[in-house]
Amino acid sequence: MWCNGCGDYGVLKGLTQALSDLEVAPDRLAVISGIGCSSRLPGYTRSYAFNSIHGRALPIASGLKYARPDLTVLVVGGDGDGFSIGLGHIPHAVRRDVPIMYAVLDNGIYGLTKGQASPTSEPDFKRDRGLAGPDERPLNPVLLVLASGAGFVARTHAGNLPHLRSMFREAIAYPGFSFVHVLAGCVTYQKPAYAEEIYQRCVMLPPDYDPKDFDRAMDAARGQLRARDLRIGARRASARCRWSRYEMAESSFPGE
Amino acid sequence: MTEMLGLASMAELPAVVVDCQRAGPATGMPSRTEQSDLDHAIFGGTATSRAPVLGVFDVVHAREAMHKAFHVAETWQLPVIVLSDAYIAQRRQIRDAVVSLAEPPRRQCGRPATAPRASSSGSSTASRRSACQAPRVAPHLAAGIEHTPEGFPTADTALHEQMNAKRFHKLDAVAQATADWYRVLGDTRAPLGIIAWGSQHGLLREWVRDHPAYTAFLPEILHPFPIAALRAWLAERQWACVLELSFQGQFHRYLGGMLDLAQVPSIKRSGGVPLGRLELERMLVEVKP
Repeated sequence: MWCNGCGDYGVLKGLTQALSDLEVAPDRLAVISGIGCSSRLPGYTRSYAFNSIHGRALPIASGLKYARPDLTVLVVGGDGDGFSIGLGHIPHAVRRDVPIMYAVLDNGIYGLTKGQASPTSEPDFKRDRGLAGPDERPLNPVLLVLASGAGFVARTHAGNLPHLRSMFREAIAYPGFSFVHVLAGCVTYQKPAYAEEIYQRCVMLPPDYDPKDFDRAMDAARGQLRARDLRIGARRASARCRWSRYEMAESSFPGE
Repeated sequence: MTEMLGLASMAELPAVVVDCQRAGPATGMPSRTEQSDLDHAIFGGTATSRAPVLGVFDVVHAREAMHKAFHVAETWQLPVIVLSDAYIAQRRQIRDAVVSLAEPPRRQCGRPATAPRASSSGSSTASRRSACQAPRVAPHLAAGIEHTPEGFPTADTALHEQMNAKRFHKLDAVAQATADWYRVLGDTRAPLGIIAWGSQHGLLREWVRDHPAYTAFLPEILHPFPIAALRAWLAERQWACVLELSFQGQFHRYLGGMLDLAQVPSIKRSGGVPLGRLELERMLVEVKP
């Protein structure tokens, strides 16, 4: 049901590639979503799947994971679903450290309901389109999830398939709650050049970036408030994580 | 709760929700009792979703009611609401030892709660399975949005009509199976009657014991209502009234949609504290001809 050129196709491909890399069998996988364009993704996977209700994918997925810890449980949804009606569930899923991956496909708009402003819509866009709340600042999802204490936080772009695949692979394998912020464009309700513009603003995290350094992760996330660049990559792997984005290694954190 | 009930109704998931009613609106008098969620339980919800609603008489009955609720939910693959209230929830009662009840429920629904999805070869496993054999193998999809009988999301309006009919048909089956889920207190030949539900059971049990001219009718299932039984019971009474702890008289209005209650007055008041015998006596004096 996605439009031609929608970033969700790339996300689906990156996700299935990552699952293939990790050899997750279809009968060991459950994909849970809320409501929205991106929430239709479970319909295109051959697995257990639940296309549930708006904003409630996280509690449903948490319940499933508690009941069936043997399953790999993934949650996918959009920025409206996750950062508006469903926002209240994020910090609680983070603090419970439910071992699920939550991927938010952020196109900065409510696409399914035909182009209303979402919590991540940019002021210029809202002003141009005459949408509500042009003076309201967009949410910074990565900063929000980092501040909640998530152990794995990453950002990637729907148009960068190798990176997307890599981030999903690491997030799914992470043994706690992991969050992947996927920048995507809406080809129907955003301006045509939006996806490309976002892509151009993406900057890889530097090679010396240490994903276990929380302060640096916060600095990187805060950078979005000051600059126009959207740094992509895994921001943080917590002390409890025994490996990082770059290498399989035993943690050197005390008490581990 | 309401949106999750809608989801369970749409996705045909068995679930039991217990509502210990208190004096509202909202959290109005949080530790006090009332019977004011009846309208919400029966009619509340998104679009056309309805759940069976059971009423609890007391602590002892609560276990039986819960067993029945799970039985209905599992048998017909739908959400069920159990209405208790603070008066029951905050007290203790001695009961006989618990013994195992009836055999486990058997699904009688038109199709599994969640539908199997197209297999890797592309064919639907749903079409090859009988209606009540819910397969537990992946791939397997549950949809909270409208879906085909095979579980695939759809916006087809004709299918929406068919699926609504399918979901509501379950309530007809529940009504048939629960037609005798009610309790009559006192002498069945008594000329005077009181219709009530839930925790009024305790008060009425004492009342009919000390007033042989009275009998009482209390439904265990409030929706779908055992209306044929009530109609038959009412036909044998010279006079009857509806008793409840609700400012609006929700139960009386609900019954009024199914029966002619022109000669059956409502006696009611807001919650806060339970009704007592002296108060009931005064209320009956006021409404009796």
